[in-house]
Amino acid sequence: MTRFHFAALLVASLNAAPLFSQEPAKGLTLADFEKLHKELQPPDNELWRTIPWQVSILEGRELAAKSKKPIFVWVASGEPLGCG
Amino acid sequence: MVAFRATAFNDAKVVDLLKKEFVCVGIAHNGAGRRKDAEGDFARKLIGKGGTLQGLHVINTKGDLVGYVYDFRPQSVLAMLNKALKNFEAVDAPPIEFKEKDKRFVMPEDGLVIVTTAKVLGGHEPVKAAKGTIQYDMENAWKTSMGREHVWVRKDETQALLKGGLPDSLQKRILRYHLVDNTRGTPTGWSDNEIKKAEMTLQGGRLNGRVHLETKDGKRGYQADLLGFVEVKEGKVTRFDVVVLGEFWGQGTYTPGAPKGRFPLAIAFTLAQPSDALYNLVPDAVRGNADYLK
Repeated sequence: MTRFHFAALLVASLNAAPLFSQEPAKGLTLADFEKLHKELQPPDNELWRTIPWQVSILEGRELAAKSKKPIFVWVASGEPLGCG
Repeated sequence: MVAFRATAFNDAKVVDLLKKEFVCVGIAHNGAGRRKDAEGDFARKLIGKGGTLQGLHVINTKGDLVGYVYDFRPQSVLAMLNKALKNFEAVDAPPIEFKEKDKRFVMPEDGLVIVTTAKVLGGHEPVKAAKGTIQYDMENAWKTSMGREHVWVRKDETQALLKGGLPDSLQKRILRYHLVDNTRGTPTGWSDNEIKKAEMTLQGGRLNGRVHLETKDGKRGYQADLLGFVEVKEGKVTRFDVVVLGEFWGQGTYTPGAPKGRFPLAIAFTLAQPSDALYNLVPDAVRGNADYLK
């Protein structure tokens, strides 16, 4: 069973192939933490996030009644705006 | 979810039309659709009306279906939206009283909301679909996307954090519902007896930990280290930044397509910002987990 080496992994970019070694996990360093926490923030330029989504269908209905607009409802198995 | 974000909702024409002409809502048929309150009653008016439980719907304020499509291709979504706009007529519908909310879906008062993001750092095979196709966009999304979720923290747990503690109930919630691979959709959480090891300590604002989660049959698991920082200022938790990094293996019922064998999975926790439009989003883990806040 292979295990990856944190320090080696962090040299690679997020999308690169993993770098594995026989070393056991040694815990996260402060540098690991800072790098990963920054890289795991959602990008600022996601187009889907520019849509003013409502998380409540009743609040959406109220807005639609005021603006006389149709309601677009994305329905998924699991929360479409926050899961996965 | 992931695939729609990378296809239809990544198309400027679709997004522009939605922003200009529609009020946009996102719901889970097995979330809002199961609420025992007015929100659930109204959601159930449209769920399934398109022929399947999922998809993209256009309705009026009475809940009548005006348009429907379940297609990731931007041109199909655009066609449906334009057709729905032609057919749509605003109708008078009385306000719906919404005072009694299904308590399972109500954010804890005076608690905290934390956002988690997750990323598979390697192990996926290269995308097989041809570049420039919708299949490529979808496959690429599944292999590179960032999983997202919200964590709810109760008032008493928040009070404990303010005093420098990390209550067992919050630890268990994080372990069972938030140390998951949700990068390809709705993840499968962990039961109590799948927590093989959980060492989490908060000392002087620094959180250290090591966890081992594994199913009985050994087909799915996560062994990881945690490091984080919790800060308090003027009676408020002002920072809850945590990183979890380790080896994950296996996949959930609704998240096929995991890399083979063990693969690196990182998860980050950050306080949610009330200014975020999705701040009030109910954690997906609340669905079907009546004990989520226990």
